[in-house]
Amino acid sequence: MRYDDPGLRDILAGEYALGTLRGRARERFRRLLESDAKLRQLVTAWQERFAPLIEETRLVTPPARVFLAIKARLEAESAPVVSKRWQRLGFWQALSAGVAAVALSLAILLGVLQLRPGTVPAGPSYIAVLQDEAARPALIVTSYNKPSWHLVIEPKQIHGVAPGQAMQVWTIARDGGATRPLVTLAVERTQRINLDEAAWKLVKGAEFLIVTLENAGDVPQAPSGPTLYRGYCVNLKGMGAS
Amino acid sequence: MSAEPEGRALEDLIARCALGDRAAFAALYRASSAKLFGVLLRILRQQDWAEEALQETYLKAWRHANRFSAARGAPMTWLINIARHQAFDILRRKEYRVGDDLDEVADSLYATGDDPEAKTETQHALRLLRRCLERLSADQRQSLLLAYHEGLGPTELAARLERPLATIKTWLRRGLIQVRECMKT
Repeated sequence: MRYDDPGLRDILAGEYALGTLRGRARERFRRLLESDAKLRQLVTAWQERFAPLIEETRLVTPPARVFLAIKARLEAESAPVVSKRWQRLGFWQALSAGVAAVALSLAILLGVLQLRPGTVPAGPSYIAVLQDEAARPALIVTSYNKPSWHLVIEPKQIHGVAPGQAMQVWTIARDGGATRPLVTLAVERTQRINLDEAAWKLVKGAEFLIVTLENAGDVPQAPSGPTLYRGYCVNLKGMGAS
Repeated sequence: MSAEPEGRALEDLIARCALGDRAAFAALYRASSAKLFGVLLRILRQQDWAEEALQETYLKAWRHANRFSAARGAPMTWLINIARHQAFDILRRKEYRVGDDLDEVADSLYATGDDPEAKTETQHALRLLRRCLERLSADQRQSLLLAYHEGLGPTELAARLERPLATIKTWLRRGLIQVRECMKT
């Protein structure tokens, strides 16, 4: 290899920055860059020379799903410890725009909604698709106000719990972020749960639903175990659907 | 779209990303993603590939934020560099390049660079670079611009411009040297 010739080094750096260094030559050059700070400086100088050309490319706002996917992948990487929960919530709240639309399209994708244009005939009022740390849909919670207030919880892909443990569903309020217990989850089957007025109001005011691991038999007032699943709560009636 | 944030603001956001600040990361995305997405679409010409590349770009930016330093160039240049190389990696992996029928996609993303909202300093930098590019032969200039904007490699350039590969490689190298020398002055 001839990577010690100064003239050639600079040309290779230019070709790398321009993008015309390809194939094995590019791979070799990349490995070299890892350990060669001077070579990196040459590449940076070339990048700066070409950088003004960026003004010749139009701005194109990417669809909201891209950032949602990025966020989900970052979530998946961070350890599922309860102390991080609020930090992660803050992150979720930072990207409210588009999240609802994505949750809805995910729900449609999963086939839980048979939306006809313009109508939600006797359909759910709210839906939350709860995902695990790897952003896989774990369960779907839909709530209805007809014929009476009730929830339907449909497990998609959830892990079993050890004896003595239970999964608790919580609402996190849109206003103020208060966490309130909603119901205890059955693992194996779809549940239909009637709600009283207080519980309906919790659902109605929820920005997120989360599921935490708790001791069976307790009636917890605040989450004590790790967050297993979480999902943004989408108001279907508020989306012009009915 | 609001005015482009100053490089300094982007630098601060990247520094905060290095400390694990996700609000800063969201702000960095908001401030820079439209630019990077335009770049990626122009090179990849397929919406789904460009979206995939954009995801990878920002994940890399997040993970490597601690490697960024102002000594390694302007923050936007750093981000664009990550995005462009991500695009090249995708092209390499897919080993397939959509045909000329999609040139329109690339063309539609062309901006003249004299956008009234663009900052004067960036316009000035572009004018300087353009002046140097004008001194190249038309073939050399076209090769460099197609390579930069549309991510064409030497083989693709040879096919597009109907010239032997060796000729293309010579144009590129001579073009690079002339641009470098011109920009010294």
